[in-house]
Amino acid sequence: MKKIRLALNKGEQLRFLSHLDYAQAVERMIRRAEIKMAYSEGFNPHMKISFSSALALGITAAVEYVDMDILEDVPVENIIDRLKRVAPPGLEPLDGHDMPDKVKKLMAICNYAVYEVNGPVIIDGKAATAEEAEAIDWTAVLKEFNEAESIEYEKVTPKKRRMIDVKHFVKEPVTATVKDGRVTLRMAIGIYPEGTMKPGEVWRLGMESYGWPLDESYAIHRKAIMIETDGVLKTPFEV
Amino acid sequence: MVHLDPSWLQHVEKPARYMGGEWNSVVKDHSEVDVTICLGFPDVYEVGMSHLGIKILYSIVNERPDFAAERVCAPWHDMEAEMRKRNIPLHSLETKTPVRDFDFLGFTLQYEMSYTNILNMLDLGGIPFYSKDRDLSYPLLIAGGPCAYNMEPIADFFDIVNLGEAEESMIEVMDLYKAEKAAGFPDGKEGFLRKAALIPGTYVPALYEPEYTEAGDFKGMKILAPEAPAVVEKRIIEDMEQVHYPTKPVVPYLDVVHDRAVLELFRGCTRGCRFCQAGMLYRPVRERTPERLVQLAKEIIANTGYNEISLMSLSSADYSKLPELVDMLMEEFKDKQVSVSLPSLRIDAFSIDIAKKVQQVRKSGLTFAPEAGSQRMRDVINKGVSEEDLIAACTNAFKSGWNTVKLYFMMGLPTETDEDVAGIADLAYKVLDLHREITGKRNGKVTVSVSFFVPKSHSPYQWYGQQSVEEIHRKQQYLKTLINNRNISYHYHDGATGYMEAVFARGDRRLAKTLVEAWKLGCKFDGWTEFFSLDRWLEAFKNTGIDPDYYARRDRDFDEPLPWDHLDDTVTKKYLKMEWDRAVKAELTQDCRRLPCNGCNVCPALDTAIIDYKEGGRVEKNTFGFK
Repeated sequence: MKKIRLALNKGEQLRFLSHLDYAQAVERMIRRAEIKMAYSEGFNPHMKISFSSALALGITAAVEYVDMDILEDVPVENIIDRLKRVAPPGLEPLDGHDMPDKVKKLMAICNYAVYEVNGPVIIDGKAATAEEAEAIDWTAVLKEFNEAESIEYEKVTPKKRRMIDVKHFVKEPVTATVKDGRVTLRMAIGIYPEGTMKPGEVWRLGMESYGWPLDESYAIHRKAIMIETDGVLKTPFEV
Repeated sequence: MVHLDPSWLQHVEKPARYMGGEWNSVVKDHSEVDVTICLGFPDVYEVGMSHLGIKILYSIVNERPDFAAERVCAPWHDMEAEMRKRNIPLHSLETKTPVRDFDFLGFTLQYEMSYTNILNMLDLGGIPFYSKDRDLSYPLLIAGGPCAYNMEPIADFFDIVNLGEAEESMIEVMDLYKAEKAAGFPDGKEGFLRKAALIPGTYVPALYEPEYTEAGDFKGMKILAPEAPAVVEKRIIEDMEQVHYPTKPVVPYLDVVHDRAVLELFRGCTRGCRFCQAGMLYRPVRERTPERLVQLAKEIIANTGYNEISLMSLSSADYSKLPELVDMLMEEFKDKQVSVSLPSLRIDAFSIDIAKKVQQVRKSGLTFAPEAGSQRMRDVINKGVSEEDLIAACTNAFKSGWNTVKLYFMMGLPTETDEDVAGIADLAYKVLDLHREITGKRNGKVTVSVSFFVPKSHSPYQWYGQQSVEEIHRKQQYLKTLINNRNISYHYHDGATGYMEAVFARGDRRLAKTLVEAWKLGCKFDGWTEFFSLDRWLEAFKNTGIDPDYYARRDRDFDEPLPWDHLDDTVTKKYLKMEWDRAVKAELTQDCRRLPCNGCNVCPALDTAIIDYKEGGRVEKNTFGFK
């Protein structure tokens, strides 16, 4: 048995898959590629694979990592080639590495995600033209949020509500790029044992409390998921 | 082409229902094919994607490089609201082409309560309901499936109906369309339809006009064109070995109702249960060989990545080579983590042995369908199952570790008395007691599920007036008083849905306006208990001056012309009448599979025979039909 780590994407075609749907799509792709996988013991054996995160319904990702235990002794390139032949649109095998047997669970080490949240620029309740959107001084718009020492925010989940400090989770200054009347906000967010913040929550907080010229129609893309240790960022292939 | 923007799509429930792009879905450039068809399922995606018929037709049409088949399902309520708000027309999953722009729009007719969804989908597609209001700039509406045998309540909406198995006739209709299209439709839509009527198994409703007596009873069909046969005979595929089977089915991303590979073992069932329309419609029994089935299974698993194969048929345990097939499949997939499942079990110890073999995981309980509580009642419906059979099956199951048994029954069957109803409770208690006796434990669970019998056309009960909803509710409550045990749970449906189903199952063309009215009043997804409203339906009947009891509750005369007499499954009326007579006398009719012919007429009419591989394949014996 050996362990390999693969990089896949979650493209536009798969945007609306829940994490479980996405995981099932990956498993079925692996089965179509006829890769001999390790399965758990017991009455209901399941394929031994684990993901770096639970990508929510509605979010696309440039890259998602998955660890798999395989029973074949073949180069990882061979696995990737076989997967590529049976990969559905929007689920592209990108890269892969052999891993030592004992690696920490991806989900336990990945603590830093970079998102791009895109939506129309709204001025006086209606969508801005390309010129109007360009004319906005985004650095100034984002300044108050970016320079705040701490921001109190009430996080509401179906189970409970609690106060968190937004700045504990939002790691770098939020930046903006504008194109065709739409803005893309880049935000880096920490994922910690004590919790995280959703990119959509940052978007709405900016809109409601900091006057960002946006509305509720946004689409989230995760650009990267990484491991941050003492301020140094590494990809899951580099650890 | 329609664009669905994620900014709003993300707010509807399960947006992946509308995304398409699934593995094995076929996307073709419409400019490079000659004929396009959109196959519609009048219910939500998860139900539609579980339907084998659509998988078969989708695959067989897309095999042809000059044809393209795509899919469309009914949008859920929230999506419909968004589509109407944003003026987004109903469109296909594959290329997001509006259904209006296809050459054909097909609907499978699986249950009567989906008819309002068909109207709603047409409305969302910007397509007029009535065939007469559509010229060739609209798609031709084509239908098939079990309810096509009594197409009449929706006949005015459709252009072409495929009666029976459509693998061949659908392609023939599309070939005709291709030729006519190339010639520029020289005789217009009517000319095309008249030519289509010459294709065997093709019913063109516009070429028939119902006539009624002064009293308002159906008198017969006036035939309006020489091409239209007086009686449209169903089509079957005799050779199940050679016919195309979809080995590259679309693999949905969402958890659909039947999310697994489907292997169709055989068609038809000759057990002859008298309440069962399917048992008459799909005759005769035609099996595939186990070798062919294993080959198909290997291909499907390789092409889909599924880890479960379901062995489908009307009664899978009746497959003559089932033990051999199960062994072969288990051997083939033993290292591949693929499990085999049986959707339905026959009530006998043999079935449990098979279930034990395939079901390593006891995730769910076992389900049996005794259908009726007393032996007399089971004989009336020709169920051919005794209490001993059920006890034998349950004994085997409990000894093998199962603790949960689900029992399906019907209520409202002809000749039913309160004693028969009480038999349901008796049987449930006997099964529960058996569990305690065998296991010595008190953790046995019996679920009793009782439905309301709906008499269907083309069955021996087609003349029977359905019992009233009040009577069914009384019987439901009576049974409730007889079941007082926390280990027996008792489920039953509101009778009103069964009542409406009975109206349309044996209705005529006058009901079309009622359907349109019901749709206008907001009826849709009527098969879903939470959306069904009897009040709205009764209002629709009132507004259109139609008495639903006339169709559902009236005992019909045996010599009365029936609105579906021209839609022929080749079982004769004489045979059905004989079955009715035997039913009221509680006399059994044997399964003709390995015994002499009973004279239903299907084999001689279609010049075919039972195909049973335990008997060596095609069973040559004298067959005949009572006429």
